[in-house]
Amino acid sequence: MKSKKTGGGQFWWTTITIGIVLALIKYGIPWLSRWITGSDLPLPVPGTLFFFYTIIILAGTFVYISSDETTIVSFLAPIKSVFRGDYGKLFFFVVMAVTPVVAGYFVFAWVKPAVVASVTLRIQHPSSNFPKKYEALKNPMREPTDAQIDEFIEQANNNSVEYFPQVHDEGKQFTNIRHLPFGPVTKFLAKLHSGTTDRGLAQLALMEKRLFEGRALYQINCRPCHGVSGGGDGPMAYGFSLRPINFTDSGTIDTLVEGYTFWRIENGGPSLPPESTPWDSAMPVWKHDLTEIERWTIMLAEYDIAGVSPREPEKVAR
Amino acid sequence: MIILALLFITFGLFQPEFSYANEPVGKEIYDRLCLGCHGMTGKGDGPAASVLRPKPRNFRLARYKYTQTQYGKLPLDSDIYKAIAEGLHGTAMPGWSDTLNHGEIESLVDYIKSFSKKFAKAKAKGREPAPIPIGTPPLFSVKVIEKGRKLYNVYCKKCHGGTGRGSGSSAVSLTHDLGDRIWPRNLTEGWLYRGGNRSEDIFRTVATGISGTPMPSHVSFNPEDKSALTLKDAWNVTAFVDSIITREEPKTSEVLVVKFTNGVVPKDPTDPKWNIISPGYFPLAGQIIEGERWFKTTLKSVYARAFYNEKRIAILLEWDDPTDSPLEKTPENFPQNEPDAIAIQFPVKIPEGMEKPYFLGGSASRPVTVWKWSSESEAKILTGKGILRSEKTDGIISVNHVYHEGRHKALFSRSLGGDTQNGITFVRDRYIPVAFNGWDGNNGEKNEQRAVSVWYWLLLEEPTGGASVYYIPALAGFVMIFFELLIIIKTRNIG
Repeated sequence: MKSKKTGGGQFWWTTITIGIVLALIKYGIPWLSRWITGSDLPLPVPGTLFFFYTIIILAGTFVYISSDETTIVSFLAPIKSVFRGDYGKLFFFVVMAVTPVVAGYFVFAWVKPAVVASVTLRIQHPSSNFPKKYEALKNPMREPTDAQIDEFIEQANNNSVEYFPQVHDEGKQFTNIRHLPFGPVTKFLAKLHSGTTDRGLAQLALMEKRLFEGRALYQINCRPCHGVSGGGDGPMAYGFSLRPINFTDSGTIDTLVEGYTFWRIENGGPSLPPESTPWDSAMPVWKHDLTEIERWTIMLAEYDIAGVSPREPEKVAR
Repeated sequence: MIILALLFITFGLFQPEFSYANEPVGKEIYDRLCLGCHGMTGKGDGPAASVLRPKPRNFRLARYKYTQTQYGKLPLDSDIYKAIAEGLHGTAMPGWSDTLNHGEIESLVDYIKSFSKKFAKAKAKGREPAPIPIGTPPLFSVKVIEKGRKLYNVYCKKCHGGTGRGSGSSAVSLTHDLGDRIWPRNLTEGWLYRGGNRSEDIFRTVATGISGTPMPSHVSFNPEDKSALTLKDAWNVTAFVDSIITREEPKTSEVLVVKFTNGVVPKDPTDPKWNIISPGYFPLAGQIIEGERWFKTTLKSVYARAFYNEKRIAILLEWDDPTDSPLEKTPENFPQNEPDAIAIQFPVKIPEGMEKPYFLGGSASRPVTVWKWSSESEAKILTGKGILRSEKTDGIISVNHVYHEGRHKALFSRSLGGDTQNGITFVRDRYIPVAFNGWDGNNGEKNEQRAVSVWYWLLLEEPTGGASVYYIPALAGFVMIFFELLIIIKTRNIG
């Protein structure tokens, strides 16, 4: 009975402190990482690092406890009491029986074979077979030429503005430029009907039309995987382990020159080099189904939907 | 001055709340973000509508699926708001709460309501939509679930089937208000519920039905009507559905582990021996890459388990499909009567390096071996050099198939060794690429119009790897006991 009076304060304080510190490392750091990076995915502390922290904490505690006699006596008191059976026979036997089982369980969890998929390293934006001639390509749909603006004005005058077949066929209501519900188009047409041709407005209206067509083509062809707003979260995305690219994510289409994005759309997954695991990519070869100008139009809208702009090709000093 | 400035700031701060009932803002957002699918005039006929299933809502009909109001009645504003903000899971409708703020979504709600005169008329007559009462949810006890099961068998089984997998007798001929085919929900797969899978959501759907679909309201809000369910009954049905639902989608298995057995590998798909393995889960998606793209798959996933012994390998595939096609009698409106089919795909040879064949049916330079079962012809082994280019070989694969209440089970078995006809040879300790393809014949799926998976791994488990897993922990336990005894001797001063 005497031992109970010596008190076990040191034991409980030590256990609680170790518990809190380990919990902070295991859960606190990942929580903080989410708060700092603003990402939904926490950054976990790597297993080996956690192991080292544990060793350091235990060693530190040991040094502290054994530093003077009163601490060590206070620390050992509850342990001794258990072994002496001060808390009753039942408690003694339960502790004696449970401890080896817990130890065995931890060892089991450690040696238990876990089947993990073999990891394949993959380069997301390969350049080993990227043809040089694509590098400096500019999207021809981004800036209308004078001839294109003239043509557009003439078509608007004759009421014969044309749409890409897919946009025309699928959205039967779009047969006329008047059908586009956008400010610049309405303004341009109003002026045109009152007899004045405003070239500046014509250019804006033409760009609205191109963006509209690009969005429509994007929604028809790309949306199933890349999602309505380009987040890589379309309804078909769940089925592919190489997730469709999230265009809004920095590090995807905004770090690439337009020519590169164009090349990837044109040739799809199968023409990737081996370091980019072409056999796993579900990206179709779009040159089979879309014309070059349709693909450029989609890209115009793709960057617009994602709210990013392409990287400028670097100017090589000569 | 200061007071004026303060007033100005205050009004500035509150401005979004005052401006929400602003149709022009809503129209601008709509034309930019919604028009592609829902169409210029809200008819649900935008350019992308043709590849969507389910179809985009036709706002001119003012019929909304997931509402807190009775079947066929106008929705609450909050129902439309919720659909915009959170999206409809499993459809092309994404959640917009990351892109649009509260005020913008509210103005979009106003604009969408303006496509139909019904909202204005109801308001003029003072008959604005009201939510249904929810009653009191009971505790889902065994007794309550049993009551629910009895009601389910009377009211729900005809479409949703005895096991909840959507294989009821009426399931094959259902259409929605826009004339397209529609399938009853597979109630066991809760992660696919569109209107949410919490108990409240299930109750709401039982009580209000889903407007525009064959899912009727099962609760009568007219106290004279004795044929329909009471609120309490609807909760009982909810309790039953709650007892068969799995809410979380299983984690995709990266590796299909093939378990070693000393005896014979099971020959029957219903052999109880299968129960000792927990199945791997592999999602399937529509084949939207080559040829005729297929957006409308009914098969969403396949479960796989496998055994092997010294001679043979047996792989059991299970997948949910509301119909056992081809049907004996096809419904008039949906005469498609293709066979159901499933296929397992391997490389012809285990790849030496990291390079695998193209996951979509292989290629000429890297072909694949395909084991295919179909409900109409004998199981066969094919060599695939592309999804549109596969040829039957003389190889033999044996398949045992059963279909019961919305679930197919197909047991493929073959010798471990392969040859030029049979294809791949299975060896231990090697990760072997494996992929799955599925066809639902009654959904009109054939050829490249199918559900596909990407490559996963198949691994033959080591037969003797098990023993040390048990004796090492046991040894640790004994060491612990030894130390315990030592300490006991010391603390009690024995001897």
